[in-house]
Amino acid sequence: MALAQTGLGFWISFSLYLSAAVLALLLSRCPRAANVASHAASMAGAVVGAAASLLHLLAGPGRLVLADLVGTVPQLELKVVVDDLSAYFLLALSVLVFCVSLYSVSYLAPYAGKRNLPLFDALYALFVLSMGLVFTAGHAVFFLIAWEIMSVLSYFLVVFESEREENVRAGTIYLVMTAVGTAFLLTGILTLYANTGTFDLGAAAGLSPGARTVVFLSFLVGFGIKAGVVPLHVWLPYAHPAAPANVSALMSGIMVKTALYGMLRFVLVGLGVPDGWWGGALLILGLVTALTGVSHAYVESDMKRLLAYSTIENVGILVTGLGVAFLALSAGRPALASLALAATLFHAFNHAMFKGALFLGVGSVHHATHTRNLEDLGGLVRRMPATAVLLVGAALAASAMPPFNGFASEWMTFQALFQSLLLEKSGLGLLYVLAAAALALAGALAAATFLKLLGVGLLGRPRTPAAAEAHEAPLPERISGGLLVAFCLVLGLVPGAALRVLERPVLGLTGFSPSAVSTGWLGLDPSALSTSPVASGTYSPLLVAGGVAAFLLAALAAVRLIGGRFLVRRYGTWDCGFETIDARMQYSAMGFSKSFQIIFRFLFRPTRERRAEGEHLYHPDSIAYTVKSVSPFEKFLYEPLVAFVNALSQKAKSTIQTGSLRRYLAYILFALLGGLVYFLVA
Amino acid sequence: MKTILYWLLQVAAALLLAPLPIGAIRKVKALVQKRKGAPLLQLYRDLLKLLRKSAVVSDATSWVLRAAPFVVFATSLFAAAMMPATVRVLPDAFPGDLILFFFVLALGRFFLVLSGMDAGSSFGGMGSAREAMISALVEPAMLVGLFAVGLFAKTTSIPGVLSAMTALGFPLLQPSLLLVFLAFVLVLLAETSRIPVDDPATHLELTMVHEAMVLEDSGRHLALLEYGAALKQYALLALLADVFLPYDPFAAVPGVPGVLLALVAFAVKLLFLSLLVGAVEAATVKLRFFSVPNLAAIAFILSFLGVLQFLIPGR
Repeated sequence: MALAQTGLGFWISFSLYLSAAVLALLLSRCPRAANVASHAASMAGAVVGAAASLLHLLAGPGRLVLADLVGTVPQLELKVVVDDLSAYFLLALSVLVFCVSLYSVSYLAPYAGKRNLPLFDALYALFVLSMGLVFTAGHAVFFLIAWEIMSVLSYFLVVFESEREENVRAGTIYLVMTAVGTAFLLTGILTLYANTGTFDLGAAAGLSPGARTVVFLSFLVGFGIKAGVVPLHVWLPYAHPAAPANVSALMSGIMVKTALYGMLRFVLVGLGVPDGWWGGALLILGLVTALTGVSHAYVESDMKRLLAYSTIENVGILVTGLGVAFLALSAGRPALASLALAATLFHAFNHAMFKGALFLGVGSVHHATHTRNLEDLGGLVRRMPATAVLLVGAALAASAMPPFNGFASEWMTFQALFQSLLLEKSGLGLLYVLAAAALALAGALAAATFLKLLGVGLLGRPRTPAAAEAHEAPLPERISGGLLVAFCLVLGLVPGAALRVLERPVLGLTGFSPSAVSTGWLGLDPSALSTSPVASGTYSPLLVAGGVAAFLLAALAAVRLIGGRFLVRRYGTWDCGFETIDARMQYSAMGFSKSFQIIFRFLFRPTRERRAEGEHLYHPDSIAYTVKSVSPFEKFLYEPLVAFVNALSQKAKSTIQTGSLRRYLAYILFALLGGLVYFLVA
Repeated sequence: MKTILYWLLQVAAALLLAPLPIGAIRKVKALVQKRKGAPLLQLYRDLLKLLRKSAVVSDATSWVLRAAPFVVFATSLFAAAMMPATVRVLPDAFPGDLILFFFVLALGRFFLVLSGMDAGSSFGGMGSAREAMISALVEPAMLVGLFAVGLFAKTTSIPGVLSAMTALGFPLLQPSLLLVFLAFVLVLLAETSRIPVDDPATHLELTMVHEAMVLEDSGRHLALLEYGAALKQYALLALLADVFLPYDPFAAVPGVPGVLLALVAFAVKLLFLSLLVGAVEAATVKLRFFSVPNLAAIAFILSFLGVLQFLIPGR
């Protein structure tokens, strides 16, 4: 019974996404109606998809083959399979898509008439569908096709506002990087095929150590590019912000998770117990990624780029968690691996929620003020109160503040690291200590980053007329963001519920259920999972939230009791008695993170330019100050690489591709001869 | 019943004892400077007076400025209540974890930093930016130190750590814990805005960190923020006292008198630690802001060396 229901549910969900695309194109005469109808269909698909995945995770049959079409093309099977791991990622996709589609109804409305909105809606729906297929593909070639469709569609969405040159550039960088990534994925998949003789996704046994290494490295690079693992991240801070906010939310929220899914599906499920060094490599990559991402996020003044860099930081946390799980598995500690994997998968879901909410909120601010630059904002908490509240909530979750969900998963990650350290007897322990320190630093810097976003963007006085005249976001935008923040809070308060949902995917990956971590619905206690007699810390979010709330109310009552009624006198901000305070005297976004940039200047290598006009040296009429910082990865890794590839192509053009017909005829002759010889010999 | 009683005792101890260390530190400083100084209990009077006054808020501010004092107070009180004033009456199911402890304090700081930005003054922004930076810099030292302590106890839960430390007797005799203790003292100085990181007594806005953030607060808002800061300091001092000085001289005395004597011993430990902080404050000067990273690095290295003992093979 349940089998038929969930299977049907996934079918309906995917068909609704497809019909969303068709509806948008059919109604293209009337863009507004197309927009509403298409997103309504996507929302319906998301609701059905979420229900089906939840049902599947709680009571489903485990593995469910939805379709298996063998076509006339050799080695291609349209095989759609849902198992626990797929269902978990489909759940995250569905929840996020529901909120983002609701948001799109009003967010995209201003584009109607100015741009081909129905086409955009159709691409959006197909993009969602393609991600659904990536999570459910049961055949490697089909996976690759879905993966490419997803990449290409997201490219079109990134360059949707193509009149801006930077968007086109961002799209091109993205396209090149993603093509390179696919080449690596192809290498991995073909190596697997060469060793196992099948494209079916599943456990691939009997690979030689060399082949395992090749497969692991290929998938690491291929998926690492999509996830934005440093140093393969260069495209991400360009492409994610260039897209409209709803697409940014999907790309940062769930598309980067397709890489995590791929690593789990192809490496962990495919290759079984990981080799010892894989986990270490992942751990180090994760830490470098987290620190690089957050340090760039902190100094960024463009709101959406700031969020994109923060995505890189969170990818780093995910990769770190994956590394801890890999190390635990190769050391034969499945219980510990369960804890680390549960933390990682939980964080993946959490990041989808809070980063989605942040991108949506920032998109509303962008539409209200027509700027993404923090230096031009300020005072929005009074002009856009609801958007401000949901941004604060999402930022609290993103900064891992209790009792939000970000803290629950971060706490579990720290506990996994702590237990790894306790159980580790070799020098590897050093790595765990450094990991803990780096994660702590990254977490604190993430908090500082979001304090900057909120403090400069929302608080204080408006820095420009555009900010002063901002209007509150339309109702659908507020509801969708509010929903995501509510998810963040609820998941943070009852992490036991999340662990219940996570139980089967993690059980399938490690053979050890993580449900022992949760003490009922109330809290977390990883001690149940430790393999040695190790007690552990406990965390019960309801108690923390209840306690803090109780103290807050008690403080209110006490203040009222001691001091009498709440009389508040309004007066100007302290101006040292000069009475000339204005919005330009506020701390700027650049100033907020300037000290960090100075302390870590060896990393940022900022170049400064100060231009003053006027006769007086110390009292110039006008002054301009710019700081530019070039990413060391771009400068020292990619620029030489691009130059090398360009030179190589030039050389190929001048020596091989000369344009001479005789030469080409000679090439054909030699190729034919070579082929003949090969067939005769073989 | 026992649980409720215990929490009431914890909250009462935190609320009553929190302003004491600040008075003691000020007294030590005054005596070193050959001043008479304010009475030991001056902060209690200040708080009461401020609580009775209405607040003046800037017309540029929002709900953030008015909510922050309450959040800061509530989170600091929660963190303070998490640190046992006496382990005599510890209930069986004690929720409390060292990582959680620091993140609860971080939640309060989040709102404090936000409120500093709310009035749109450059002083507030300056204070907020510096606070965010300093707290990020000491975070690794704090967490690694915490791991070191946790490794001794094989847990990060507070009662687990306390019982392990009590079993050790004098934890400071362990070289690695001594290093971690020193690291935690540096973290304490940075987290509670004391010299050499910040000067709580400064009157020059340009050098302020904590004081710059609360510059726009007055009356009862200021009272709650000051009380919150005192509670935070109490919580961190209690952490040092509980973890590194767990010795209970009245362990043989049973029942209620024993509990009261243990509380007195705890207060004495707090005063001793305050003396230490006061001595540091009297003997050093405020560091240049860009030298604070060095201090954070020293704290981190101390913590790291503390952990290293556990990584030596064949321990």
